[in-house]
Amino acid sequence: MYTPQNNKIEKMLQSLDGTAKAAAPDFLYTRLKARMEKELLTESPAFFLLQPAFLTACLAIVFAFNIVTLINSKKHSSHISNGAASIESFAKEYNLNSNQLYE
Amino acid sequence: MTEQELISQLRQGDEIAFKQLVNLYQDMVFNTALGMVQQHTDAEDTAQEVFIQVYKSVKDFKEQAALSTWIYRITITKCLDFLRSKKRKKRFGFISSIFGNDNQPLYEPADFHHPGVALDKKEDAALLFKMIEQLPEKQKTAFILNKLEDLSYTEIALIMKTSPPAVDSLLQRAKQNLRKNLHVKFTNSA
Repeated sequence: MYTPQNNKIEKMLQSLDGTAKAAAPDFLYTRLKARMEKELLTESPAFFLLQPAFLTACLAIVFAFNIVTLINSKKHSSHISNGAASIESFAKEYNLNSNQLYE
Repeated sequence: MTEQELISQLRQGDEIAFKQLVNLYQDMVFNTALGMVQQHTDAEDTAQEVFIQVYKSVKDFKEQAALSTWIYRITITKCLDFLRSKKRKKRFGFISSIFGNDNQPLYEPADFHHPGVALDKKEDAALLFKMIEQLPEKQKTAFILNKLEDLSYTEIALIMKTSPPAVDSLLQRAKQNLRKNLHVKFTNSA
């Protein structure tokens, strides 16, 4: 539908038709080169420490270490409890108890 | 020097080849970035980042697309990254944005005037650019590539990794949204 406002909007939408391309600023390459040299110089040798791959690998190692420690400690505790149980059964079999030993 | 020779020399870290690449594509990259970020200094910064990225990742360039298409893709990605980070800063720094870091009040950025727009269309184009800023990313990208870079639907489809009918649909929706937003703007200001 034709209205003055619609006409204005259509005119506005066509305002970019035939726009000339903007040229890059002068000395872009010189500035780019300076920036690249600066970035190479300031790039920290320990930059890899912040890389996600390195951080993930570190976390995986810590996690694996925790699991191994947990499994080992569980084994150790069950071994101790087994030992305690065998002493008790030995004392029972020979009709010994801790009170009798010191009588 | 053919495109293939240029790429192979770039892969060897040849500085002359890199300079040639910058000279060949700097206007294309800058014009696209300027349309996307709508600020001269930001567009130049983005253009520099694009060439740094090209320099770093030319070894991974698989040559499945033309070099220009690949550079366009990097440009669009860098511009969208820049706009997203700008939006994030704006959102999270709302309270501090009332006053700048130096306790200086912040001001609304001035209207963007593209240097290639004809003088009699400058005012209309400035308002249109404000509305383009509010478009969704894909619509904005397709619109800028079509209007400012004068690219065909097929070329835009290659850059955006989509089909020409999808580009047509994006452009139609972009125009619809622009019409709607301009209508709201005129109604509110009336």
